[in-house]
Amino acid sequence: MAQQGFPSCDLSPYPPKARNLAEANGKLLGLLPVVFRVILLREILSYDWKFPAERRELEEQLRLLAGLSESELTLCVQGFAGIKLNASIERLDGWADPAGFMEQLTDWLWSSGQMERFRAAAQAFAAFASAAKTPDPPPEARLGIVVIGQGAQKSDAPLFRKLRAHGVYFDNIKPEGGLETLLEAAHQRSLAHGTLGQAQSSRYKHWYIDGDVARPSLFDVQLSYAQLQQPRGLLLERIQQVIASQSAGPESLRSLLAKMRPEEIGLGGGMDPVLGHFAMSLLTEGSGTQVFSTTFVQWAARECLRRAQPETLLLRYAPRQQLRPMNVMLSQAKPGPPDPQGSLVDADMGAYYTWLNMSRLPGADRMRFLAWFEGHSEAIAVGPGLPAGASSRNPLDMRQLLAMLS
Amino acid sequence: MNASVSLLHEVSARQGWQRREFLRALGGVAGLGALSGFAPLRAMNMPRGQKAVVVTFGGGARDEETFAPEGQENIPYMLRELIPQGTFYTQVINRGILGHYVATASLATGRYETLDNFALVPPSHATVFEYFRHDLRRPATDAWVIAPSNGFNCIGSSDNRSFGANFGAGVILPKHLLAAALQEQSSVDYEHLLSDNYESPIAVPTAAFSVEDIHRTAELLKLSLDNFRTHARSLASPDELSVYIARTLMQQLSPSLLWITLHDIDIAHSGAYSLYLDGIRRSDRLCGELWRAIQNDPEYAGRTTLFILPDFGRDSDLEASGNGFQHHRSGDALSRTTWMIVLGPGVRQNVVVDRPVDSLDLVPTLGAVLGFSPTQAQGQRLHEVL
Repeated sequence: MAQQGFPSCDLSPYPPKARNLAEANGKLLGLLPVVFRVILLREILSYDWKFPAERRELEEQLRLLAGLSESELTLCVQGFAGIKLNASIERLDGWADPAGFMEQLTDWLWSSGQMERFRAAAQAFAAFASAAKTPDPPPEARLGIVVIGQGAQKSDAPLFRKLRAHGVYFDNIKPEGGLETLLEAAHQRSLAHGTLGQAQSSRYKHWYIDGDVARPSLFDVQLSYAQLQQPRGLLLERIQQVIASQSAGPESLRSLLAKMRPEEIGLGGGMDPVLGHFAMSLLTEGSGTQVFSTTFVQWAARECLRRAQPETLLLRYAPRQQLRPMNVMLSQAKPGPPDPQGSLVDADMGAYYTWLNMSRLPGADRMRFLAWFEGHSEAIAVGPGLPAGASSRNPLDMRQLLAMLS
Repeated sequence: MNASVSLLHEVSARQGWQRREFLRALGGVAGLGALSGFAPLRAMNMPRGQKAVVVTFGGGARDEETFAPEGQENIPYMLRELIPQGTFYTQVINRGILGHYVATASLATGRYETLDNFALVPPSHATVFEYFRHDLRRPATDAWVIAPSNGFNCIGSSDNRSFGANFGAGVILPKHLLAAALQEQSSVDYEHLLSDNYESPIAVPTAAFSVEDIHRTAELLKLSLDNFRTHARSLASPDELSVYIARTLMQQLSPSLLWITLHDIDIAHSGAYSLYLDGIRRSDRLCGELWRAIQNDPEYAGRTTLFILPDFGRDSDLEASGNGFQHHRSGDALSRTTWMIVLGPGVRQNVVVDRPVDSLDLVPTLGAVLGFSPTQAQGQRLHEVL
């Protein structure tokens, strides 16, 4: 392990809270092997734009590490210490530009055959941190609702195949008023366990993400594909400039996107800065989110769950455009005609991934999950007390279905 | 063996076992046999004029969408036609970099190449095409690569000084051929064939096709540009265009070594699951068509070995650091473990090989089939198909 003291380093790129956190943990950071230190620095650098749940986790990790003896610390990060760096990476300033360092490191790990070793080190640390962590389930059971298939006709293949093993499949749901009922139910949760207007530390718990124009509603966070049309356009314009310049390759583009600021694509101004950064990350780090609304909803849900750990999440998929050549779709050309049947398949898989990602969060044993084929009679419900692998032909309306989950 | 390598082996073995069980459960492939100790089937007693066709998928497909019960509907040709006629390896492990150009270059050299996946650079080690042409004194028209992606321009030969471009394969990028053929014409009807790079929005720079290049290639293929344009309009994807060019090559030049990289599956990077499934179904159908074309062509029938393999896998749904089918970035065991089908004269039919083999084993095996010595290649000959 690199036994270094706190070096004189450039923290000027760090926003205020991040800088305070780095300085407060300077001694610890100086003791860590360089690879692990840079991983932590990358997280610290974005501290000001993190959700409360992420901040808590980062602070907990730093507290955990700071509380270890030197020999314990050596043991828990030894996998990272064993990673060999090359001279050009060693010359990089991981303090000032951890993202740039990580990009170079990733290439090096692949080319030097050390990716397996890195994965093992990361898994070992994650297991250690997880074992030391006090379980922190939400006070209310999480609720995930996924509405799929807007505009699609009957599915060509059975729906919810991957989810059926985990809950009850319904095929006689009365669709009338279903969407309004789901929106209202999710909204009532946000009021009952509400965080609107509260301190930032307890915000971002109730989310609504729509693949088209969001229905009028009142959630902590409401994001829609339509709402981000202008930022998407500005981002694609920037990408086109890079492509047209013929002076940059894929790596340069990735670096450019990583260093982009929300205001550059119209996400500054009056927008909550944490949400502005989050929305920007969906467009700059997500693959396909710029061109397919289905991918946007799936990725936004994944990132929202991983990062904000919400108590309520309502997703509504909309038809994405039909496939056209990537360069055409990225050129800001008018979106192609919609592909509702393909989008139904995409969203069905997206619903499964949302359930999987919810299952990774604290309190998963109490979580409730519902996916519904909008305007149709098929749905799946997963939750405590609902038998796994069952099906029901009972005629139910959406209110009754929700009641089974409560 | 360190813990991470041991884990990779363990998961790969489980994956291979599952593939065997999936196939066993399938009625049409009920008679699967296993290979353990045995004598070489025909050793090196190969017919004269032996040929080989290699099909790789740039963009792996996972078992959930292929060999697992819920995925079998997507690969009817492989399950019902190809596997019953060939030997199926359930565990082919790729220990290299999981980018499509660099991984395909590794398959072609038998060494884990470390080149920049997005750069226009040739492999560092001699390619299978160079060994083939050098050792067997074959002309340039006898080895070809058909690849859809821009980055594949340089895959036909290495920058190794003992071999190099003089012994390399001809490389056809059908998309570029079509784009050039459409010069001064509207490409609106062909847009769907002009896209094949899904790993990055920025394409790798490519060597320009001159008018002379286009006409020389068209002349070699005895392809009227008008007919090419007309036929292309009837095709559904870049991979269909690639197979069309491959079949034209087979009819006109009958190359002894033909390498085709399919790429439609990699649309998975866009996150659209339905398009990824479409890519799998199309690749499956095209492999079936190619095998039938081989059987129906007197220049190929009875003396051609066909190898079909993805360059690597995709991330597992259960790998938290990934996003399921969309990418192959996590480096988890499933993204490294894939499979291979081998068909041809003397290759045992309806047989499954469970032992783990390496992606690098392809080149030494091609060397044994065609009769050249890949001196720089690593990996072992796959004795089950020799």
